Amino acid sequence: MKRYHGASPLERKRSMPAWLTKPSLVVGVVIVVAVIILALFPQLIATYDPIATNTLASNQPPSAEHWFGTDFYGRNIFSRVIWGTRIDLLIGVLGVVIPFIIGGLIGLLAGYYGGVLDSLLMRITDIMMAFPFTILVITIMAILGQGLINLFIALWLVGWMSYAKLVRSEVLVLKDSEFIQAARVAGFSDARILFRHLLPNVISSAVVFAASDVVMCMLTGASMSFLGLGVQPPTPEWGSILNEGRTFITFAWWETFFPGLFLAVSGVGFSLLGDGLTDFLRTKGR
Amino acid sequence: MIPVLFVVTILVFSIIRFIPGEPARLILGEKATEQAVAALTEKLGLNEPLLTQYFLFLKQIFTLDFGNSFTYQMPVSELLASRFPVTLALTLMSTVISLVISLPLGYFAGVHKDKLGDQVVRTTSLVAISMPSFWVGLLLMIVFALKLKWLPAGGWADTLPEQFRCLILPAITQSLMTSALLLRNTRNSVVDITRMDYVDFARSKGISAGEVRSRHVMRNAMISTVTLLSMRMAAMLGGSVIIETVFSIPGIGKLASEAIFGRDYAVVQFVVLLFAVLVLVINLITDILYSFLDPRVNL
Amino acid sequence: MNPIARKLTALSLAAVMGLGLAACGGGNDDAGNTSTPDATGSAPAGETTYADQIVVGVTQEPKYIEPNAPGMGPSEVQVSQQIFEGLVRTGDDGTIEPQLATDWTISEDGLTYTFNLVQGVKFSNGEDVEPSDWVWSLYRARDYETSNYRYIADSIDTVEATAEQVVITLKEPNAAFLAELGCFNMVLGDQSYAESMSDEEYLKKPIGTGPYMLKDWTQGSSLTLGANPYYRTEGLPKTKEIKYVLVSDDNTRMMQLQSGQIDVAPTFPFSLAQGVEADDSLALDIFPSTQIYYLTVNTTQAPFDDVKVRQALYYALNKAELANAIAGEYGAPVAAIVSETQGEWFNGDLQVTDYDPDTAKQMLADAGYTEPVEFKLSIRTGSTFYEQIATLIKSQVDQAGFSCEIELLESATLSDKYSSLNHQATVLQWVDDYQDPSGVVGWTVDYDQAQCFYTGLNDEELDALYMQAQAEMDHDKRVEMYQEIQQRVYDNANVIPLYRNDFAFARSAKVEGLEVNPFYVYQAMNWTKAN
Repeated sequence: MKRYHGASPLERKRSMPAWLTKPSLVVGVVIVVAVIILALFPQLIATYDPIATNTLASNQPPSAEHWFGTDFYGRNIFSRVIWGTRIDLLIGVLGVVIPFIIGGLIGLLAGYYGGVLDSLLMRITDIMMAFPFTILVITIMAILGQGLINLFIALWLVGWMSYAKLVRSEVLVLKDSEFIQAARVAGFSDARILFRHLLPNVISSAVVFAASDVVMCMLTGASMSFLGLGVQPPTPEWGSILNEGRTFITFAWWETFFPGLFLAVSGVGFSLLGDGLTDFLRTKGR
Repeated sequence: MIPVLFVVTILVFSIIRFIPGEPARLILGEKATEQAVAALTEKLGLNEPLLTQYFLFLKQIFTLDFGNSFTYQMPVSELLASRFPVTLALTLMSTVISLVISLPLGYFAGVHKDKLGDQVVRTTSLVAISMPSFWVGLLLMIVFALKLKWLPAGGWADTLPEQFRCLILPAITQSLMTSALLLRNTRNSVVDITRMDYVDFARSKGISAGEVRSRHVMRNAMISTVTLLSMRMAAMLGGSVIIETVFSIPGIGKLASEAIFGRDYAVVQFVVLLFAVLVLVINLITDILYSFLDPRVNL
Repeated sequence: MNPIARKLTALSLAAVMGLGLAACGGGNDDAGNTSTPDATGSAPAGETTYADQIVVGVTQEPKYIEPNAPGMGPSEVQVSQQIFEGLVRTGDDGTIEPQLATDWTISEDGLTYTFNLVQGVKFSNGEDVEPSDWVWSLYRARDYETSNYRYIADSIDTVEATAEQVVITLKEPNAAFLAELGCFNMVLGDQSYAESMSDEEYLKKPIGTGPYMLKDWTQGSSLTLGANPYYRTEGLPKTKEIKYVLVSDDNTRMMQLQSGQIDVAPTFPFSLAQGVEADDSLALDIFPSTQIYYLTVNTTQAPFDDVKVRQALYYALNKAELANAIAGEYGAPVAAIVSETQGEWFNGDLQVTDYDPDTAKQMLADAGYTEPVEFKLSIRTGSTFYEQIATLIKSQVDQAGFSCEIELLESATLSDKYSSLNHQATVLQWVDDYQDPSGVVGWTVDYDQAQCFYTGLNDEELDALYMQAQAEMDHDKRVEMYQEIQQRVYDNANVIPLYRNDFAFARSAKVEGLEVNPFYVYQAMNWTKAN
């Protein structure tokens, strides 16, 4: 069976262009662009050094001086959250791009050539998908150890399968279609058929899935930080800021609230963008 | 399914042994002396060759005698038997909450397509999909346990009614994403049903509108709901690791993460295997349901 | 024993006897919903009623209860100590008090200890204590294979017992022996009961002569202790049931304390203390402890194989900031490896160096380091305490000529790493188990115990000095030797004490009678909770 983390393509296929009106796409684009700007130029926005400690200003509530308050170490949470954007966006993007390329390629080849490669792919995915996603990631993290690079490896090891299966199923539908048959008859090379004819036609559903997958990767990354398996301190990352603040949640709500809010808002941005993209690709396709 | 399970056993067995860290040292704690570490490693049977350990594992599976947990020093089967119902209850409760929330709201949104109500419901569901569950859990805990004091702030109780109360907040947290996805699915189904051109077309072919609805649209709606639910139930089983940690609930999710971190090989093997079996069972049920809903699907 | 301590012992003896007498007066055990404690008598009888059960929220569940079990830690000891009793116990002020022994004599050569026993003691299953139980129990403490604490009983050569006396002969004189007898594993168990079941089973459901017995244990959720009906002092325990519930998260524990789900929260994090203080229905009890957090460095690898680099750490660390940030008013920076709670053993001449980045840089420059000295500080994940310490250390040393990278490892991976000396630096903590400095000193200087606190620094002279101190029966000379050892460890700078902190217990304001000794042992039998 397929496993999609976000909305299933089944649902998407049935959703019609009217599912999202334009304003939400605009909002999505605005949020995503804002997140990218924050990630690229945090130093322009952040007011403090995100890792400099000042224990005299520990756990202070939001004020004109510290907009989001300070954490246990007296670090400015606003600055930490702004700097954290970079890591979280990186987790979201890199956690998706690599599986997208590798999984997509495997799916393309497996679907087109079938045979050993295809059955191998199906067996591996069958087995891997017998484990719940979170359990799989935690186990891999436990083997590799905590850290950003290891988090990526875990996300890649698990993530490629969804893309492979998605692309494979699309290729299976298209491979016997008339225009591919025609291309074959015309004597085009396999490479040309694969990348010039098949790829453009199968990629859109993977792109749509990728947009919601970005959200899932960001959430998974944050969950791993929450379980103590994320980035090394004192690197600012939303999940780890949240986890550090959790200790003080009974009296210092701002330490968990703001990083969570940023995580949620960027998630909404990518989801809106993904939905908008669905509509866009679908209307274009017709 | 059987060959898959077999490979799963090999995987489960070897994966846990790839994880660095000596169980004996961990059990003995910070003041572990070298003599005690050596004695305990011997006692736990970890000096045996890996193949011997693997065959022991297989034998344990077939005889349903899972051996003893290193850390809890009680039979793994008892441990699983006491923890599993908790996670099962949590997952089922989350599923029920999801259905109760998503079906009416989805219907409402579908009927009022593109009106303000629809927009609000849809946006909310989109927000719900994008929120980290542990964050939501913490916020709910602050509001309903700490400020309002309506519900326990986590932990577990002895009596059934109390246990039910302990599960309310975790189940709501857990159901958030499932509700949102189901809601969108329901809404789209409703939109399809109410789309007149679809029905008009069918009617022009001499089929009544009611028949169209029940035959095609409803069936499609059912299939997508079943697909989604089965995926989400598997995901929620995995998510129990985080939810049960946030709320300190003694289920198999928390057991799994504790066992992985505690290098409790005996428990990890069987709890991960249990997860795999559960997912396979959910898939099997889904496939059976498909065959009822869609005669073209052969098992 | 100093005069004050002796006085206190006498006082506590009197208190125990007083309790016994008072109990004789009120002696019927009512089976109602509430019971009236007979003790202090400050409240007029009949006005205050007390609950039958006190719920303790613990972050970690005990693995076993029997004190020789593998991996005894605070979570195990606190339960074990309610069930078991020894010849003597370490009192709340740290002095040795009689428990199952009424008094004792020590032979001239320091080798033979003769204890006179309290009479009429029964185990909680109603069986009488047999002399052979003493022999079996003390040998078990010395010989049980997977116990970490065998070394505490290691000096025992032979044990002989009659119904009235226990005679222990040592292999060689051991000045710390009486203190060691006050450790949690030197307690009396029932041999015939233990042998009626498998050893695994016994480790989990042992019986003793203490005020409580195991009533119910649902692993992973709760453990209930019920009153021992055969306990020799009537009226004790004051509360019939002590229920330990597992609440692994401290915030949840705080919330449950506020909502009344739990009554007592041991080792409460200082970061949440202000929440307890702000709440009228809660109280925070502070007890002096022997807990110290240490920065330990691997001296077998660069850069800490150079003693000058290690000594520069003294100026690169801001211990005062660490103590204040993490433990607030309940902590203090320390320089000596022995806790000042150990009294005269503590070397007070050692001064905590002030944070001085320039001096540290200068020391490194003098030692030939022109670039920042890089090192990796490995600590365990999932513990806020350790993460906080590491983050502060990094921010301090990075300004003082070092460049620190924090590496979070799971505890299993971490303990593997430091026990095989594959790390560079880590933070470890220590709580003494008895009133004598030999525990932490042995751990630090005796290479065989723990590779010198996992620093790999085998200073044989120091080790010899420690051995000599152990055998020295002259108290003052022994104190002097221990002062010397602390000075030399300070100079070696392989184990750097950071700060000490108290034990904080948060409780409902209705709960009374909490006392905890410096070794994290308390007597739940004195607790009451007003309805």
